[in-house]
Amino acid sequence: MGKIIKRAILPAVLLTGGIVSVIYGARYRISPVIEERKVEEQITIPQPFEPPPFMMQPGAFFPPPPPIVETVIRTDVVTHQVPEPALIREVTFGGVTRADSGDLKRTYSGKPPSLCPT
Amino acid sequence: MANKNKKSESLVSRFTRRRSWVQTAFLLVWLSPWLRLHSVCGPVFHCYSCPLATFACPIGVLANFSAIHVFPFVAVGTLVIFGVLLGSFVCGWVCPFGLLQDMIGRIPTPKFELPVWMGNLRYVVLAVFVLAIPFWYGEEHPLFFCSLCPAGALEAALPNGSWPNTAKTTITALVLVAMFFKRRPWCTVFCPLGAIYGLLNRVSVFFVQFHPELCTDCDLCRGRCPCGGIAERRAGEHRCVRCLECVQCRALTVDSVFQRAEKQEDVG
Repeated sequence: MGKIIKRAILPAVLLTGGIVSVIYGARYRISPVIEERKVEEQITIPQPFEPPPFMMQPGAFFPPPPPIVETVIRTDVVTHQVPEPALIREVTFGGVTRADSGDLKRTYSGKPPSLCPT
Repeated sequence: MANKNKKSESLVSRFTRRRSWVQTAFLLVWLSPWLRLHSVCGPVFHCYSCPLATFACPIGVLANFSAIHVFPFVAVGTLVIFGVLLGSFVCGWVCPFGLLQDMIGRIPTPKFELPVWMGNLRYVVLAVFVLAIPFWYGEEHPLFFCSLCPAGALEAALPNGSWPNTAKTTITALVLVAMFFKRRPWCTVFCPLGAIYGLLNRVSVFFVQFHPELCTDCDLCRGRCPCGGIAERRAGEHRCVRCLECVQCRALTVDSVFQRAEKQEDVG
């Protein structure tokens, strides 16, 4: 009986460690992943206008020139708190990489790719 | 004890004859047209980019997590659980890539054996291509394991209609050719997952035990062994895929840590 217990101790300890590892990873482990989202925005820039002095008569009305409308692309950085199972799924299609800063970065925005790039 | 061993080994021998059916049945678990659980790490070597893959490949997860410098608690825990319970029974009875090699190995071509020491190359593959290169150079490196994996080429790239890179194509072609002339060439020489399960063979709950007092030197075990007829006749050690072909001989039995061993000769 003592021999059986001795032989079973190491597998039991490793099994417990494996179960604890899975539970911790699946339930509690969260990793921050940043996503850079490019947002298109329209901005209006009013045009400055000064009527010439000879046109400055009482009662005169000079409509201002129409503003300039420009489309600019702004980069928003959003941080997602991703649990490990979701991170496993993300790496299966190459959706997460490690940036030079050491942060985890999402490689796509919007719809994820369907296949691993390798 | 001898009678009990006889009874249990005949049951195991009978079961062993149906191993191909068991392996094929497990395909229904790893391949599913409806179920996608890629957030769950599977225990077998099967590419997650396969159009029918149910689970994530544990080696792919280890490699990718190494690249992003995150410890893969779920993947490691899964491998430890399956390894401690079953060891490389997973290789011999459950793995779809092992099934492919077994099926091709049945083709009656001349079979050759490689030197026993080549089984240690699996640890080199695990340490270098799965862990070290992704950790130091990232997943873009050409020697990143998934960029070389033949399972990825056969199970993912070709079914998805894309042609793998040159290195992957070459490795896949060599492994496929090797399958005709050596039993289980990937498992016995290169498989990093087999390396992990092989290490856990020594501490697994279920193992193959050799009874030297019952051995008559008939060499049945060596003849049937797909792992090069392990010269020491020590079934169940780290190179063993636990296919149980050798258990046809009564000198080898399947035991568990809960059974008393008559001798110290249990070998994992």
